[in-house]
Amino acid sequence: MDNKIYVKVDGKLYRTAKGTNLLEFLKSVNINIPTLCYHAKLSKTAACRLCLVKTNKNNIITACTQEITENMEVITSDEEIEYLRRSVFELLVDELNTDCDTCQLDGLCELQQLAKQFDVKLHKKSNKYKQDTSSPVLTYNPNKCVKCFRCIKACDEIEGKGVLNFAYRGQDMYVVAGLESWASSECDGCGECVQVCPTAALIEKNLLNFDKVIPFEKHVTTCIFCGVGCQMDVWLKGKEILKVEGADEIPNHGSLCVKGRFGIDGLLNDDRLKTPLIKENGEFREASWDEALNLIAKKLTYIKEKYGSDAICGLSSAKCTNEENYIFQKFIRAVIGTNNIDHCARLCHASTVTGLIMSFGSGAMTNSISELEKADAILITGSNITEAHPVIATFIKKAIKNNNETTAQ
Amino acid sequence: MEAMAHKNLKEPIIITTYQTQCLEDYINDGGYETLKNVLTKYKPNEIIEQIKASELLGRGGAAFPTGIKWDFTAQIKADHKFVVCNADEGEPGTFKDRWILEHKSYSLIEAMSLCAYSVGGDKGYIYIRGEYTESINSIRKALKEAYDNGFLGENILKSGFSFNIELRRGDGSYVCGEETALIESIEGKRAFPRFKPPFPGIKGLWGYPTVINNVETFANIVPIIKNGADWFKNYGTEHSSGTKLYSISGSVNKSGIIEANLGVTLKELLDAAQGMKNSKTFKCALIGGASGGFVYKDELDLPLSYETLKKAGKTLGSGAVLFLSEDDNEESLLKNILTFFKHESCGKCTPCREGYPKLIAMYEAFLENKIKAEDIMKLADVMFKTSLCALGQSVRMPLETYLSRKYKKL
Ligand SMILES: Cc1cc2nc3c(=O)[nH]c(=O)nc-3n(C[C@H](O)[C@H](O)[C@H](O)COP(=O)(O)O)c2cc1C
Ligand code: SF4
Ligand code: SF4
Ligand code: SF4
Repeated sequence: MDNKIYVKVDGKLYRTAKGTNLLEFLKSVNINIPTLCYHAKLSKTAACRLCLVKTNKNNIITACTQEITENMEVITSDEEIEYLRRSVFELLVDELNTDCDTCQLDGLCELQQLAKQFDVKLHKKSNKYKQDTSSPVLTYNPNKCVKCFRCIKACDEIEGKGVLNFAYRGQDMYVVAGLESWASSECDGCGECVQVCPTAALIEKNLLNFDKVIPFEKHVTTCIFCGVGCQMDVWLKGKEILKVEGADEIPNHGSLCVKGRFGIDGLLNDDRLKTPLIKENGEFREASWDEALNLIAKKLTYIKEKYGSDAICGLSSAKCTNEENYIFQKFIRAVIGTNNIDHCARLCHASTVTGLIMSFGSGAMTNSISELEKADAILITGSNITEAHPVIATFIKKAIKNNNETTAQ
Repeated sequence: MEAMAHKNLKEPIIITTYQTQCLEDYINDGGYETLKNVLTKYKPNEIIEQIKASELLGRGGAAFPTGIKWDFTAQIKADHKFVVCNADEGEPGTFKDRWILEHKSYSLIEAMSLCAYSVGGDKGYIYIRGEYTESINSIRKALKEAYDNGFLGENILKSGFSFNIELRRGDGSYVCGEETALIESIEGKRAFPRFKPPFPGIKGLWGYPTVINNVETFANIVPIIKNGADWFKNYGTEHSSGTKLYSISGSVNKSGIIEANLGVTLKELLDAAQGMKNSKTFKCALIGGASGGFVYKDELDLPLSYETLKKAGKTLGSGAVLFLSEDDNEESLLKNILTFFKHESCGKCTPCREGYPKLIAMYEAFLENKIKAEDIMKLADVMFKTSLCALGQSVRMPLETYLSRKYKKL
């Protein structure tokens, strides 16, 4: 016997595990239920009141807070449900300044999609609240805020920082960082809040330099700032970077830190080296890759022939990916013909590598990053993880939060 | 309570005892005897059975059977269980808990200990309205005396049972009286109501099973255990046993707290309050506070019990009764109520946060004959059906009970 039970949805019978969340189940069988406050990575909130359905156990409930129980029958749409959802939605948009025509996220906004679905027209209105533009990386516009709690919960539940909450109550309520503003708060700019926001209430400051995000191209790549190796989606408009989002992949599962999300603008900076430079008569001059590589090949061949392979050594960097480092050592060994290959991490990591080999048999991680979340005890030596590897720090914070017994020292 | 101690409440009585109690008097009156008895002679489930048999209904407004509530929590195995006394008393026109806090504080503490013993609780909280300075002082004193005399703390009366109570002050928000918001507040968070289920009895304070009861509910516990469930059921009606503290205010000669059997009629309460002020005629009463309903002249003989009011589409709520005379104006009272709710809406859920400001605008338009009453009721109905907590849901009742009357007249 498994713990699967039957549930009837709009007259159709399904089988699922007892206790499954109703909204998640309905999504999984492609039944579209409107919602704004629900987010797969966050605890349930039940604030927007849009995912209304009826069950045979209760008249009208929010699907996001309902567990599937034995012999449950669900109606996901009837005249009353549609009327109530639409009424709630109208109440919500009534107070917002939905200036879609001049909004960067026009066409990408969840509120806009729902408006289409409900056939509710969105209009530009006057701004009621002051914006908070004090953060160097993001801006908050309460006039577009649907008060879904997602940013607050992301900051607390995913990042373990708890910087955000609502201030004031009723219709006067809006999101506040710290006691007053983003700039004066403890926000470190990871931007998790921006990524979960369903509207343009929270956006990357960089987006303000553009009229519209659409059309854009999205490229998946690996962050090069630290060894965590977060996967990220870089949104490009032509050659310009619009923004960066955490990709929902191992190891970061959608999260990024301030470096990965907001630090790669250096890529297009004028001060950055964009072509190889060759020094002639004490002066650097720009050169093409072909010219530079030919010069290097010529000189390395010359040294190898004249002084032997061991006259050459290679030193690579922790800034490179594993793949790049692998190729480099292969080149030094197989092409140059020497074992003189080293890496900057040998100096800083020699002690941990040796220690790990002696204790666990391998000089690298023996667990996946997300497994940290389940650890009973975590021993940290010589590292300031929240600064050096911030995304790993979020998993350690989760371990401490989820399990009272976990100690990180 | 006051009358119950004399065991002969026939007619509504106005509470007149306003001198503070001291521990010595309480003990001379048999105070803490019940706790001592229970700890030495009774099993926890025997107490729960007794409360169940008494059919005591929660006095905080929702009238949930107290014995059943305790039983839910008692059935669960958990490392900790909490007992919380809801002394936030925020319902407009309600001031009866305050009297208990200031004059029956010992009984309240004894009742919480009895509850903890019955459900397996180890820690209690009294969450008290911040403005109630006197009540806070009186509870502080009673708690200290209980600790000093071995009625609270470790190994109470050398029975092996331990229970501690901590006092928490609210800070002037109506929604903090909503049980799950109150729990969030005790946890040190902003008081946003949680969704239910899970109910606090299963998953409450810090995720542990938590019994939360109103002050007046707890005040009935010691008398019930002392005198038995049958004795308690002598009072009140078939489905609403016991007496009730009615908070009487408005245009009557004698406002204050009146204790009467559940099932007393509005007329009898009015008589006990010595009639309308300045010999004016009675127009209507708002029963149950801001989230209650209007009761008119033809309903003066309606018994005020949980079941009869429910049947009539109204609620007894906290037992607040506000009398209005021919000179008083329900229209402006309603406006007040709407403004109150708008001010107190915590803002968590859409229909309540955005609904109240709109409702006020509509109500004003209605008073200028620009829209129909049905239009207002439509919005109130959406709020009733879709709001997360009762603060957003409850406005339908005062509006409906007033507007439906107005139609009939038209
Ligand atoms: C907005 C709101 C305010 C409330 N305020 C109070 C209050 O001040 N005191 C109280 O006892 N119950 C209040 N309640 C009811 C509580 O949520 C809860 O039902 C009650 O404390 C349960 O106790 P009882 O079973 O003894 O009645 C309020 C409910 C709502 C929705
Ligand atoms: S800022 Fe965005 S994520 Fe945060 S509450 Fe507002 S709409 Fe939701
Ligand atoms: S933790 Fe930050 S710097 Fe490191 S890989 Fe992830 S996003 Fe980049
Ligand atoms: S109904 Fe009102 S008070 Fe209750 S959760 Fe919703 S906004 Fe808050």
